[in-house]
Order: sequence, then C-alpha cells, then structure tokens
Amino acid sequence: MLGLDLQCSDTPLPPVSAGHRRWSGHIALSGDWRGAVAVACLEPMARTAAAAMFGMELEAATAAEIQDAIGELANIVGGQAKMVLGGSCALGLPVVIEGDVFEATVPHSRLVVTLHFRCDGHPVDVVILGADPRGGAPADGVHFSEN
Amino acid sequence: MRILIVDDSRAMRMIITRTLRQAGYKEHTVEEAGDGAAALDAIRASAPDIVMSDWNMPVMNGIELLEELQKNGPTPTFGFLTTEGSDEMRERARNAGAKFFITKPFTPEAFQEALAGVI
Repeated sequence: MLGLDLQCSDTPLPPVSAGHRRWSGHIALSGDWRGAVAVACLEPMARTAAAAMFGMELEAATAAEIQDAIGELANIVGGQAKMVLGGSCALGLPVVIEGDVFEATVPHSRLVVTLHFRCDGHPVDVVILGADPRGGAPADGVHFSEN
Repeated sequence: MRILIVDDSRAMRMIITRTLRQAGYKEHTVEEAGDGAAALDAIRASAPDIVMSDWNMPVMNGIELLEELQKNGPTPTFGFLTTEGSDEMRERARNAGAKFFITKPFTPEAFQEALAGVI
C-alpha cells in the first residue's frame, strides 16, 4: 500500500540518537483478547512513513502529519494482529507518543512478544501486550521509556 | 459520480484518494469527512453517490453512520475500508446494508475487485 520494503530483523530498535526523536503508536484491543499493540520507530522511519502516506518529501512532513501516519500504522498493525489473535475483539483509537525523553506505562499488561523489522532500511519494533492475568497494580504494567 | 471518503486519518484519506486514481477511478469527484458525524452532515448537505468509510473513528463510528443512514436516510451506496476485517464485522456490515468491504492495507486491485459493479 505504501510501497515500502519490509523485512524481518534480529536487531531491536536502538535508543534515540542526537536530533532523532522516537515515535510510538499504541492501540488497545478489548474483548476476547485484551491488550495493546505498539509500533515504535525513530524519526527517520517516522518521516519515511509520513512521506509515503502523504506523497511528499521527507523533510516536508510536519509533526502533525507524522503523528497521523504513526497512528494509522498502529491502527493497521493492530487490525492485522486482531485477525491473527482471533476471537471477538475491538480496536480502540490510536495514541501516539513522541520525544527523546519520555516514560509511559500500559497498566495491567504483560509483554507477549516484541518483533523486529527493517522498513526501507530503518528499524521498526512491533510490541504486542496482553492483559496480565495476575491483575496487580497499574504501575506493574509494561513500561515504555526513552531517556 | 461523487465519492465521500470518511476516515479520521488525513493520511489515510489521501491514500484512499490516490488508490482510487491508481485503480482507474480518475474521473470521479472525491470529498472527505473526518468522522461519522461530519460525514452525516456532508451526506445530508450534498448527497454523494458513494460513501467509503472507516469503521473505527471518534465521535460517530462507521457502523453507527451506516445504521443512521439506513434509519433516517439518505441511503447512498455505502462500503467500508477498515483494518478490522473479521467475519463478524463483515456480516454486521452486510446486514446493515454495506455493499463492499475493503481491508487495510489494500491495493488498487482490491479496490477494483470490491468496487466492480458499484462505481
């Protein structure tokens, strides 16, 4: 759909480097499968996705356009994950986090799997979270951070 | 024909417009709305021939929009473009009157297949 090359990879998303923010799109799943799907990448990949979606040059993409693109990527990957997970579930609306210093927690969650990819040569991680069957405090959930 | 694209993502609305052109539907007028409620206003104001709607949107989602149109009109040809392509949702869409169902990510060929006989 976007004409970008996507390959599986063994290499996780590296930490942010100078001048490059991290972008992360999250979408919740509820129903038979309760959890969330996150798509995370660094600024160059985020710009690549936005440029491909909006049909523009990399440097022309605004923060709002990148945010829209990453949210839609999370939406699409979440939809595909939902199909794979099966059962009856509904997707929430995407939430996008960006920055070079942040910390976020998905309450009552546990990490199911982190998948690594390279998209047009850029690292991308897809993280699938499930509900923690032990319950526990919200702060016990999976943490995302960059600092 | 006038086609209304309904999606809360501006990026996705642009991709849908581009894919329509790539699929050969170049001569039609394309309009946009960012959620179901905005689409309802647009449909009642300007009566498009075809509505291509996302399912999962803020304010009013796609199936709520379709059900409202079926109940109180008007009733343009309506179909979904959505990431959520489960059998359950397809059946609900069909029962509500949807004429096509396209799953994201899509290709121009998927548009041609879904829209054959509609456009």
